[in-house]
Amino acid sequence: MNKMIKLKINDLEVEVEDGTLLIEAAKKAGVEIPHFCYHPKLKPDANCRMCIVEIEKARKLQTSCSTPVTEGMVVKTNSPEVKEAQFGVMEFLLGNHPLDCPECDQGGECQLQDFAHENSPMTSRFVEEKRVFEKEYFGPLIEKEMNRCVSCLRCVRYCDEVVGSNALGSMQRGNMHEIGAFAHQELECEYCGGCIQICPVGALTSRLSMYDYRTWQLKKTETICNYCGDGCLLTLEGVKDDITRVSSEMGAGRNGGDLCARGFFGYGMINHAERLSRPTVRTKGRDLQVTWDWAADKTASGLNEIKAKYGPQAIGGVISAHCTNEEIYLFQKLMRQTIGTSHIDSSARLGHINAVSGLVKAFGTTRMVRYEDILQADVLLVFAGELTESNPITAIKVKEAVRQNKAKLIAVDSYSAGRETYISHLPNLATHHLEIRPGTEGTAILGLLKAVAEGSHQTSLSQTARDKFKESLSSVSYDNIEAVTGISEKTFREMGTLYAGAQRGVLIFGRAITRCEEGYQNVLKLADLAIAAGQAGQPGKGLLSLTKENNEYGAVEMGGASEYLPGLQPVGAEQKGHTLVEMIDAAARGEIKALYLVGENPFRSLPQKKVEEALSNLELLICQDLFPSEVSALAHIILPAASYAEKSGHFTNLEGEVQKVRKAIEPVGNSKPDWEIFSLLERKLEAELGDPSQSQKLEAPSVDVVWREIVTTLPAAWPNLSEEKIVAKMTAYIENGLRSYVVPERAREKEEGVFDLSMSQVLFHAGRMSTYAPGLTTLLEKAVVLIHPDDAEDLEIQEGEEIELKAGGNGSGVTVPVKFSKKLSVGSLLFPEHFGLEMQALLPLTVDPITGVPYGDRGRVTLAKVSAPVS
Amino acid sequence: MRLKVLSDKAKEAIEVQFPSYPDKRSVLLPALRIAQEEIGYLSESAMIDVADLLGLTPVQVYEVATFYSQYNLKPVGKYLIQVCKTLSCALVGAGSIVTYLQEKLGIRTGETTSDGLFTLKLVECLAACGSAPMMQINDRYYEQLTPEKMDRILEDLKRDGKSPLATGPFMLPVMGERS
Repeated sequence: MNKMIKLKINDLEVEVEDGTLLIEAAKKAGVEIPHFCYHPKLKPDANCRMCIVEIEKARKLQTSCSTPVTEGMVVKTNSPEVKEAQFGVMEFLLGNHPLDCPECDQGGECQLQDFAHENSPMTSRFVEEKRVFEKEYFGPLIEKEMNRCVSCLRCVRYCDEVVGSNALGSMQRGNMHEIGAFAHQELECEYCGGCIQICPVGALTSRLSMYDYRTWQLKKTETICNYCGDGCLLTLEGVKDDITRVSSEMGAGRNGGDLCARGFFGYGMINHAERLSRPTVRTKGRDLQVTWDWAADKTASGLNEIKAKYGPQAIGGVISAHCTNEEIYLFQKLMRQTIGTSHIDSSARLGHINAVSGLVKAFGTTRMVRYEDILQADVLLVFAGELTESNPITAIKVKEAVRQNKAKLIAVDSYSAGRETYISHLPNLATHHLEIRPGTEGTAILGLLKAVAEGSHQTSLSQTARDKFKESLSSVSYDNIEAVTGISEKTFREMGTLYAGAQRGVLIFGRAITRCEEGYQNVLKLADLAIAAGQAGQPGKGLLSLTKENNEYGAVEMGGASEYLPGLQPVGAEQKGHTLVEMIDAAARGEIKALYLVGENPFRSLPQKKVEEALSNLELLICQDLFPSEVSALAHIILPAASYAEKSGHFTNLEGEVQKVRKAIEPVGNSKPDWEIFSLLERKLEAELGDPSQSQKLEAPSVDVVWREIVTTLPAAWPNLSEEKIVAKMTAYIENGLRSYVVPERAREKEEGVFDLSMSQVLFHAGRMSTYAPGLTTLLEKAVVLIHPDDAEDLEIQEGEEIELKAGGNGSGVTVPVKFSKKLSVGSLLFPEHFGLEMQALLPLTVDPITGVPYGDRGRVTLAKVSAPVS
Repeated sequence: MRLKVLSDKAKEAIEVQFPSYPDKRSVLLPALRIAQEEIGYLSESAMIDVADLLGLTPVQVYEVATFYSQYNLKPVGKYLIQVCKTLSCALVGAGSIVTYLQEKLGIRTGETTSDGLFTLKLVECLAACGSAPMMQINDRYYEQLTPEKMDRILEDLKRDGKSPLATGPFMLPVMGERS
């Protein structure tokens, strides 16, 4: 804690920390100083001159946004001199400002309006004509109205200091000064919407909701974003039951008010016209739209019939990790207790379960790193080249750590360090980038582990543990490692020393670890690495697993996995039910007769042919979802679910922070929140089982009651583990756990014309859901395959041209247009997983022998130009 | 790194500057000058090349290029006429000089004659107030301007590519004399 400073503002005594800016001290005293360019997120710029104040003994008026407090300062913010100067500033600003408040979307929440009311002369001495800029668009989503601009540069500074996108610039000068993009071209930026949010006036506004509202009509609800695991607090703002725009209060939530394109522009899926809106029962090929009561009766009796005929184990259920904690808890309770099956799983199976299983085995917990730890770390070791796109807000924390706090960033991935002009890219930010060959993460970890284990740094690790590590690595040679990964011994040694020597080292890993081959083993290797380097079990040190969906942490913790009961209590080996992949296999074999799929679409993660066969084989397929899908096309009963905007509950983000989700609007159409559907079904099922009292309870219990039940059911230690317990678990893990490591004999050979294809997430989309948001489809609408411009040049491919990808030389290929991207490694291709199912068919599928995670994101393909048809 | 328009020579000339500055971004002003000398003006491709060389985004280069009147974002004529419009020159008739040039060349300020010879531009003080009104054509100053002088200068330039009326930047004012 800094020294406290006492000062007087307008005769009020204030005490603030040393280093506080005057404008902030005044705010603390309840005195508002008018300002435009000042923003607490940004460094002082003092360009607008609006926040001037009088300081006793200072010769001139001072800008309070750039003046730190000093002991005994006497400040006046409303003396006649100050007012006169502020009148002057306002007169200048209003000299060119158009009087278009009635049609400006900022009207009603505009700082220029507000301060003009209080601090403006009633008349102006300017008689000249106003200067007029032509209207411009920054691109499909942002409107620029330069006549309204007050040249405070907040947008340019935000784009630079916070996002690091550097897409906006301050151009020309004097009277003709304007904000803009390079040579007035369309922006191809991150579209985080930050510039719109931070603009104090209506110079930058969203084209997505242009003229759709007046600010005072908006009903605002704070809730948590449902796109990725970052868990950003956002405010859904709607006119009646239509979500019209999204904002995030500066400084609020884990994201501190920052959002990404998905959060800011991705709300369009909520009120989308294609939402499933009526419960539907399909009999003899005909769709019957029915009441909820009927649908629930039909579902309950269907499930009970199967149970009576084949036993409860003929029923399986999979839930999406987009659902709330309450919903996942109720679902697993419905499946496990009411129905009595052990086949329950969630979409956390597609990768996150690797992180949970590995980290729990090594440390007893998954909660080790919070955003604050990233900010305070001096070394960040990141195995997630796509971090800036998959988890943009975690990336903002990493950027702040590197750029502001000078942390060292070691990035290990298969991307190149180039970046697309205005879209940040982790390897490009890295102070040390290890560009490894695709699919060699495990070996790269061993390289680091060997360097750390053989290094001479001081750690709290016991000598026996050290020896154990060395021994287990004895058969691993750097030559082999280099042959496989392409990284030299020297680099591994340097990076090992850097990581092990960190005061606070944080290790972050993403889909290249959790969603790719050897996932579970690689998580364990990372755990070993952190332990050997002494970067776990102490405050500010640890591992962080990135999650793709918003509630993957919650999904596993609430028991949405066959091997875990709520609170991560392990299920005994005999009682363990099928995982997602096993359920599909069992359905194909005819062992599972009924599947209840809640927001989960196995067509997107498993081979389509197999899934189709399996699902067609079922006697009862229940599809509960937001949008029609391949599953709903085959389902016998379709239950329309409500989106996150239409329900209350809790999401758990990737730090393990449990955050409240609040209902913003009534369910769209005749949909219902998933938890209401589950509790309705529970009552129906129990009533059918001979407890008639249940059918009388028509009202669903409130979601708060469910949450209370969860909190009381879970073990007391949940969710946090003390450091001693982590250390104890860690020690026991090393004592029993270490195995001998092996490295593949030699490198996979590079074949001419063969490319490494991987499916990954892109910044503008998340799963399938975002493809229903018009704001996001404007940015990326169709499937494209990314290729490095050098590869394209060698193959004489132009941007936008179609190419055909084939696996193994024969069979049918997939034709897609190409887009150039400098972030890729030469020789690799990237396909956004949000589009087209065909691409999956090219990639081989393997299943993790221990965690049952299906891996199908990577493969090798050949590439051919599609020759233009001869006309 | 593959550059779009700048030659290897220009690239080298820019890179040679790096050690003289605290970071690459600081080399922006000389880099733009080098690019402009090579291409004659700052085309979009040239600015992108400079951005790539200095590790900046194109708009960061564009900000600077649009701020200084010394950088030309459009192609200019063989002779770039920059007339000072700041106070000292304005008081002794810079306005009429500009009007005279506009009429004589048949262009407005910011434009280039159709034969590609002359571009007329207004600039701020060039630090020759003592011999106002003045203008700069390419790298040379022309001071104490009169319509007759300007006729001769333009004719000289058209004919010989240079004019004996050019003065050094430090022409001393003669007390009490107005030519």
